[in-house]
Amino acid sequence: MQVKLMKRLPFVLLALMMQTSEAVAKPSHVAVGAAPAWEARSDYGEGGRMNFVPELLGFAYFPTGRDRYHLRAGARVGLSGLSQAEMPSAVRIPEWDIRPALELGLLRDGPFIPVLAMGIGAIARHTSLQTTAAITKVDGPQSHTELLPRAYVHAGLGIPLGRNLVLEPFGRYEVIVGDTRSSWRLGLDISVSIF
Amino acid sequence: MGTKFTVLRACLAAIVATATACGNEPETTLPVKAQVVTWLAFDQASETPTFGVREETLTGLTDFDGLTGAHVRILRGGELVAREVAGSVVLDGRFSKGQPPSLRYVLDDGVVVPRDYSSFAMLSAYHAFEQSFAGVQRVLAVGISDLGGKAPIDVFFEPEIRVIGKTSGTITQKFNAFFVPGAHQFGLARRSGLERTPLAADQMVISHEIGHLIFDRFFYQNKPAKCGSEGVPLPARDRIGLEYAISGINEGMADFVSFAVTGSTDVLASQPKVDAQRSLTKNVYDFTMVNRDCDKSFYCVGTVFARSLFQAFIAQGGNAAQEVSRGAYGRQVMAALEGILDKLAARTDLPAATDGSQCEDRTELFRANHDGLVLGAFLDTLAAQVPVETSAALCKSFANNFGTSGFPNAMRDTCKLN
Repeated sequence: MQVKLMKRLPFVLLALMMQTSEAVAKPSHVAVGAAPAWEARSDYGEGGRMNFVPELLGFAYFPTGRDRYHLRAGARVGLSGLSQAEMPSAVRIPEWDIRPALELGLLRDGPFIPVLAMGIGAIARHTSLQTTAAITKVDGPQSHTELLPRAYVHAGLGIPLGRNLVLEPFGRYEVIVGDTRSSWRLGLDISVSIF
Repeated sequence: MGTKFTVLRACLAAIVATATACGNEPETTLPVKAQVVTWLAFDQASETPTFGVREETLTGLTDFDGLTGAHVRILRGGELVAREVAGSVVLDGRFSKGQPPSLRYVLDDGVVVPRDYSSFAMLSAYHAFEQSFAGVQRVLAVGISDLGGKAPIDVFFEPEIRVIGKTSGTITQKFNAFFVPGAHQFGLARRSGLERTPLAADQMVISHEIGHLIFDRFFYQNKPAKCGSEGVPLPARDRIGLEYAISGINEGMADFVSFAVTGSTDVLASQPKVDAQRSLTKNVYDFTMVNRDCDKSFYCVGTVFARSLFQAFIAQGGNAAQEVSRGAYGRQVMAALEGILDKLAARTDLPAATDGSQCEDRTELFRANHDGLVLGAFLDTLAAQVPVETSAALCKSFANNFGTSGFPNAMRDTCKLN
């Protein structure tokens, strides 16, 4: 029984995708969702780490007048800081970011939905100097908040599942003014049509 | 591919720059004051260092963006290719590919305040090196121009290490700092949660690394020993220079330099999970207990040696809390290092090497009888090259700490008279 199911699974998935291009193909509509994402970040002198930056997102789809082509206006808010670079225990400067952005993309509807988008936004970053008792004296400012402009190009490939759900693995190349440590990001947009 | 990304990046940057006028780095003018983490003092009674975050002037700075000063230039990253990295001395190695620091900071009342940990650590490392070199000059009367090689010296911040010796591979080393003789470079291993206070900003540690540079200059005379090929006998100078015992002496001398400059009797006193095996005052193991009560390999020999120097200093009436007192004694010891290697290489009573390729042996193989003869020859020669009253104190201290296995009677010429 299980073997039979496994054999049929690819066909079931394909059938789901074939029929559910409607996830996008409806007239103007709105979807919301979330995206687990990881940015490659050069936090160390040589080498770096994958920084977890989850996002909340919202998309509005508009027909372009050309068959299957849609414009996608999007808004995202990311959070960085859940994982921090390694630092000595007595002196740390953790960084927390809120990363809002607006984007505009073009997609072609079908069993797979390629998307190309560009976005602009900002990073509201809060850094704080944290010390323990091993540091006996602290002079100067101990926290700082800054606003860093950013822009990005986003390429994704949507996979519709069901009538309202789209999974979109994506790659993003980003430029942050005043911070060159990160540029590439990989993630998965998960969006659901709400109306 | 690369050109496309350059164009893409330029386009994105143009969009952002048009959208906002932000993004201009603040302008700094020399001299620069920066917020750094820095070593403040060492309490000898409790063997406890104190550290602070302070606004310090970055002395000697000639190029702020490049963090380049009179003594050092800080480079971000880079790659060290070496035959072996054991402890804080690199054998047959060289750093390359370091990048400018790319500091991220804001100016607060004219003070550079770093905006991320890497910038903070690099500014702090620069300050620690400049302060330590100034201390070496002030206390030991050894300036950068006395040390040979080019200045400023390159310091690679958190590099990658590629080992091409008996074992090979790429590693990311943590909890370490190192000196590369021959290439005349320093490295600061990647920071980690293993450290309590940053090693890169710890003047006790940085003075230790400069101690290796001093040993390279005075003992090796800027011609570090080189590894040979398997089965090919090495020249005597290289063979002696690569001995396990000499690696230990090198570490011990570096700890002694740290003591002379900072007054610290435990170079790793600031770190957690490090027992008192590096303490010059608390430790009680002697040479016979190396590899038994002390498990830090050739560092144990080094600590026995550094403690011998320390005890001879105290026995002579030296005041460990006084920089002037430490300096007077330290200068005698530094000067006495000159020419020892050539004298050892000329001796015919030292044990023969079994193989020309001794690179691994120098750090891995402890042989009490073999190493005792090499150590004995070194210790006696050192005692012969210091003033008479210091020589007597050193001989007694060497005898106490190394016994007849680490300082065999057969090797005691000067110390036989004392």
